[in-house]
Amino acid sequence: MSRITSTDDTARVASDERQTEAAALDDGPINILIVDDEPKNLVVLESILSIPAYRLVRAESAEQALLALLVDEFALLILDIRMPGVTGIELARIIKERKKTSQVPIIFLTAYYNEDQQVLAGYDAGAVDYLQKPVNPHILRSKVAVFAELHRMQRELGRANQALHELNDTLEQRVAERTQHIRLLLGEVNHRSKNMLSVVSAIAQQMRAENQQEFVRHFSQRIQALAASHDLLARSEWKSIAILDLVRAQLGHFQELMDRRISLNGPSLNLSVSAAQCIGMVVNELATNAVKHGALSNQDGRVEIAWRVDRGAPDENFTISWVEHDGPPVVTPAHRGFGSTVIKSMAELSLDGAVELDFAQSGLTWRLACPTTRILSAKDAR
Amino acid sequence: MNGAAPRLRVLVVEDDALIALDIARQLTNAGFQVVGPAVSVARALKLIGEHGCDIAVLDINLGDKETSEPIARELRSRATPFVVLSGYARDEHAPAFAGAPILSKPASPSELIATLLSCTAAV
Repeated sequence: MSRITSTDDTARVASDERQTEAAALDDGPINILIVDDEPKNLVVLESILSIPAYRLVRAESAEQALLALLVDEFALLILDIRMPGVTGIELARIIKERKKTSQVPIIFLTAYYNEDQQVLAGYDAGAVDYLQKPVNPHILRSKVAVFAELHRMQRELGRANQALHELNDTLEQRVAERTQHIRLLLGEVNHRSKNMLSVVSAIAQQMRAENQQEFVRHFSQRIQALAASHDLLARSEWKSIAILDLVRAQLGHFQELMDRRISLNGPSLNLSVSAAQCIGMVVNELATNAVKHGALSNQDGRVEIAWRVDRGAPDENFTISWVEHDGPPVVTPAHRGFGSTVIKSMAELSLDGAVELDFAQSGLTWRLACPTTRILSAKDAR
Repeated sequence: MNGAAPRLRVLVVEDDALIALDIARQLTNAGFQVVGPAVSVARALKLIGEHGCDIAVLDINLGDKETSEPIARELRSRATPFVVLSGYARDEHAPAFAGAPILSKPASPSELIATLLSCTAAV
């Protein structure tokens, strides 16, 4: 049978079919089961519905139809009511009772459209539409196109639903990961705070010998030095600090003396967190001493701060020195306070190094040597 | 206090040198003989091997992702008691530290000394 042409509706049906065909490019054809005991009726249906968007499966009996329904998923059934053996109505009931096929729409083909009893039985059995034989090709194509579109939309909805479920799972997993990460960070912050309090407490404990006025002044100065290093470390997310930034931060009070009376010299190095904390405290103590008694206590004194890495076998060595010139004559202190603990015992213990401290009359010299592995951040040590 | 602590050798493990020195000073003043202090696992194990100790104070986290767990295991194998110092909450500790007294940082000197003495008395 040839297609009917030249009616207004034909254009619409053709457009529906084109849409269905376009969709089929993405999804593959949709399956339509056609059931009729008369082979020539099947041939008619096939010729009317022959477009790439449809894959037609033919069955000449209810048994063949049920078999086909077991194998494939169908978007639509076109079913002849009058068949010998199991009739179309009975077949429809079986199909509607099976969970897997209960949602498949059924169009009945009948020669008895006007017989009310048949129509009612058909609707009872789950039919969604009727077509009277002989089939009007235009109406059939139009109805099939509607069901094809419905099926395509259902498929799309199913996919969108699936995608949403997956997205939801992903989001839930991400939230769980973030929560876990935040929990870890909070634990870390708690740990760091308590550690910092312990450091503050240790400083206070070791400064007990000083008189009260001095204590308060020196104590708060030392807390500020800790805070300066802490700022830099927090900004680097507790990874590493460039040595130049660290030393400059600790000499923040002497900005105007920088370059003129304080010189910094050495390669760029990224210090580990613990090394940065240690060297930061040392520089603060040396600077405080220089301002009070040393090269920064007069108008002409100078401080040379230099560091270097000696790359020689068997171990790489890091050296940093603080050398004062042109200050007032140096007097070896009679008693060693907390400052000397920091620049000697603490530095040696912390960096597994050796400190030389020379109170030469011409100016104080402090020099630390330690293995490079003790001061570099893990990234740079590699 | 000197009489109560007859020169017990106490190993001090703490990665912050300033805190380590402070603890060492407090324990020395209290009459203990301090072994260390050590700021790393390697150093602590070396000290245990060379000098031994009667008791130890262990900070759990030693920076650079190192913990004093290997030290705790070594001490347990020698039946040497130890006290744990920690900035972390109680439920975060590894099994190697189970059963040991835990002092939260910052620990007061008198609390630390009292805990150490009660541990050695129990041995």
